[in-house]
Amino acid sequence: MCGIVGVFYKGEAGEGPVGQVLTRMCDQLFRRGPDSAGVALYGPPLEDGLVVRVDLERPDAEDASADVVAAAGLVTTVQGSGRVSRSLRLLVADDADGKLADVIEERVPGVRVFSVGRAMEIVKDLGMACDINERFGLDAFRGTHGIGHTRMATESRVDIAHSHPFWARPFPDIAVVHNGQITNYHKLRRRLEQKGHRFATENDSEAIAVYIADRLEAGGSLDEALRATIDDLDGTFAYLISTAGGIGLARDRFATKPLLYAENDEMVVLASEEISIRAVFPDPALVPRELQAKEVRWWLK
Amino acid sequence: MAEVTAATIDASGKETRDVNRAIRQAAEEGATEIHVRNPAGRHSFGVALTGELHVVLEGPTGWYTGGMNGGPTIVIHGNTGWAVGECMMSGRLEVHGHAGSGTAASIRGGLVYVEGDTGARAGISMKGGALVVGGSVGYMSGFMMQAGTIVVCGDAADGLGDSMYEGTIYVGGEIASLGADAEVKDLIDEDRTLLETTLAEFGIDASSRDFTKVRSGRRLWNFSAREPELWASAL
Repeated sequence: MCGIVGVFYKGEAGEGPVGQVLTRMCDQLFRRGPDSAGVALYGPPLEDGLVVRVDLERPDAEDASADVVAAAGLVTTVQGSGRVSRSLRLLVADDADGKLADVIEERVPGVRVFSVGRAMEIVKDLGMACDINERFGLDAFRGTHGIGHTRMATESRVDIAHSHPFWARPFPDIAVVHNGQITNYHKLRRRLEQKGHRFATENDSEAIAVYIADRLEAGGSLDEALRATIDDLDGTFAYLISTAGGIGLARDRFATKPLLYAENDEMVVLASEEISIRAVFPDPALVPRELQAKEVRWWLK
Repeated sequence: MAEVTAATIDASGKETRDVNRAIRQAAEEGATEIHVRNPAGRHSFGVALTGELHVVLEGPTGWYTGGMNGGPTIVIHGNTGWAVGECMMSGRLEVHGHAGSGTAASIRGGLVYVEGDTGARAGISMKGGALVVGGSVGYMSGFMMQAGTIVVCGDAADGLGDSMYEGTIYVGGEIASLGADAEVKDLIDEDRTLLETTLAEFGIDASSRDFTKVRSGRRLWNFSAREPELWASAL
C-alpha cells in the first residue's frame, strides 16, 4: 500500500508550516503503511551554500556529529551544524561536485546522508509520523512546499535507509515519494548506472528520483520528465517528485494507486486518500479530485 | 406513510465500528432517517445495513461507503473514495460529489448515482442494478461487467467495457476508446425511454445528449484460436 502526501504554497511569498502539515497528513494514512514515515521539507532557499541532513544511526550520536563535521570539512567549508536526536543538520559552502555525501559516508561508518540541497531537508525514521515529528521537532519547520510518505514495505527492507522520501542523490533538492512497485527497476537502474549514476539503496522508488533528475540535468522540463515516466516506468505507481521549485506527480496507465489533489488560490494539497486532506484542511470549498490514469501534473514557483 | 423518526450521530472522535453500531442501534430503535455528521473522509461508514433505512452522511467519506447493503438509501453530501457501494444487493446510494475508483464494484442490484465524476473502473464486475454518473468515468469502466446498466452523462476514459460479458453501458459524451470485445450498438426506442426515465429523476434531460450504447461483442465468451489478436488484448 503506502500513503503519499504533499503540500505546495502558491505564489512567490507562499509558505506555511510544512513540517506540521505533512506529518499530520501522513498520520491519517498510517494504515496504508505502518513501517516507517518521512518527509522532504523545503525551507526558504539559501542564497549561498547548502543544507545537509545526515542520519546518525549510531548510539554515540554526539561523537558521530563531530566525525561528520570533520569529514565534511575535508571537502567543503562547514558553516554551521545542529543536531536533534539522530538527525544532524549541516550548513556547508558547497557539495564538492556532488561528492560530499559519499565522503561523509565513507569516513564515518554507520551514518547516512539523507539530503543535500539549497532548500530541501529529508527527515525519516521507523514508526509513525507523529512520533517522528516530535523526535525531530518538525512542527517548527516552515517552508514553501514538501512531500511525505508512510510506508508498507514490499520491495525492500524495513529500515531507515529504505524509507521514503528518496533523495535523487547526488542532485541537490530533488526527492520522490512513491506508492507502488516499479517492475522494470533492475533494467532502469542498469541503464541509469551506465550513464554514471549511482544508487544509495536497493529500493525501486529511488530509481524514479534518479531517472527524473537525470532528465532535468539534461535540460528537459519537469513536464517532459513526468510524461516520459508514464511509458518508461513499468508497474504500478502514483508518485510525487519535489524539486527546489515545486512538486510534480504522475499516475500509471492502469490507475492502480490512489492519488488526489485539491487546489485553491493559495495552495495545493495532495494525498492518497481524502481522509488525510480532511484532517488538516476541513474547508469544504477545498474539493479533492482523483487523478486519471496516465495523468501528469506539476506546480512550480 | 410511516412516520419518519430522525437520529443524528457525530462521527468525530468515535471509532468507525462505533459509528456503524450507532447507526444500527438507531435503526433498531425505530429511526428511519439517520444523519452522520463529520464523516471527514473516513472509511467504511454505513455498511452491511438492511431494511428501509435512510442514512445521510453529511460530508465527504472515504473508501467502501455503503458497501454490502441490502435495502437502505445512503446519501453522501460530498466526495467519496474507492469502491463506494461495493457489493450492494439492493437499495440506493447517492453521491453528491465525486467518487473514487471502483464505484459500485460488483453490485448485484439497486441504484448508485454519482453527481460528479468517478475514478477508474466504475461499475467493475457489476452483476445487476444500475450505476448513473452525472459526470465522466475513468479508465476501464464497466470492466468485466456481467449484468445491469451503466449510464454516463459525460465522457468515458480508455478501455470502456473491457471484457464485459453482459449488461449495457450508455455514454452521453466522448468515449476515449473501447476495451477488448466492447462494441457500439444501435440505440433503439427502448433505450431512449430507459435513459429518459432513469435520468429525469436526477433532473437530467436525456434528449440533450447523443448517447452511445455499448455492449459485449460476445467474442470472448468462447475461446477461438482464430482471433489471437482479440485474446492478446484481453487482460
